[in-house]
Amino acid sequence: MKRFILAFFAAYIFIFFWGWLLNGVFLKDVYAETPNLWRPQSEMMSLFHWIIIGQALVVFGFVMIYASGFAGGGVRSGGKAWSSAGDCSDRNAPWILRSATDSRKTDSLRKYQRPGRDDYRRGAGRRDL
Amino acid sequence: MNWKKFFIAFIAAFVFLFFFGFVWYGMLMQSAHHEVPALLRPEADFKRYFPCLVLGHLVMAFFFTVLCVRFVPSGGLGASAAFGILVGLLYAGPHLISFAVQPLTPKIFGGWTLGAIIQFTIAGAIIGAIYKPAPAHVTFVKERPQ
Repeated sequence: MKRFILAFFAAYIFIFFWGWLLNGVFLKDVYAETPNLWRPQSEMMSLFHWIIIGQALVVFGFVMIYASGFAGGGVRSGGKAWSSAGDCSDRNAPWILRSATDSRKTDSLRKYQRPGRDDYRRGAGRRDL
Repeated sequence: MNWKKFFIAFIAAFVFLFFFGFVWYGMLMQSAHHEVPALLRPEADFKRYFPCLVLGHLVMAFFFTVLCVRFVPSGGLGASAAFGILVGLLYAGPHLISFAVQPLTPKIFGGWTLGAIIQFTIAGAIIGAIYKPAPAHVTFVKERPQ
């Protein structure tokens, strides 16, 4: 829970800063070309709290999804938090389509792999356990 | 990864997302959208950009199916629907930000947010019902002789 809160705040700060940089600085001139699509500056400022809440919602949802599928595995690997077990049938799939729980770090099957045997790689699963 | 099931789930999700979008945003919310004509393209212009609309739904359906397959590996209707609620709520954030910076009406904001939650919940349930991978871990138990 502590890590979740820390991750939430870290992601929130980044999203807020990035939103300001991209939309408020880099794209400012592009937005100025279409003034009829946007609220006037003063009106926008009066609704600023909704931007804060909206970004908080985005970050909360994102961190929740991350925690449910990736927690414990670093940036590129998967872990397991709420999911029950890894699926070893998709090991050859592209990274983006692999199960989030399919991780070298957290795959319990790898711990029991006997030296000199590669049955597991061939998909024999837990037959030898 | 069961590619056949993945593909069927993706197509089913796309068909549902497109149909739901047409009914919810195009029909039920049509009057609400007419309140802000400056924000939306005119009818003739809209038809010209129709391929973008289709492509947008394809992208949405594909990546939502990928997310469901990745994050709910056990599949199942309930778990995938719950995941869909989470993704729908994620959409509430950008809609809220759009409401703050664009002259949208509260009705449009509410409709978009509710629409996204319903849309992704049902789409998640559809994907979960179709994509049920075969159990990967089969434990063989030796029967004890009587």
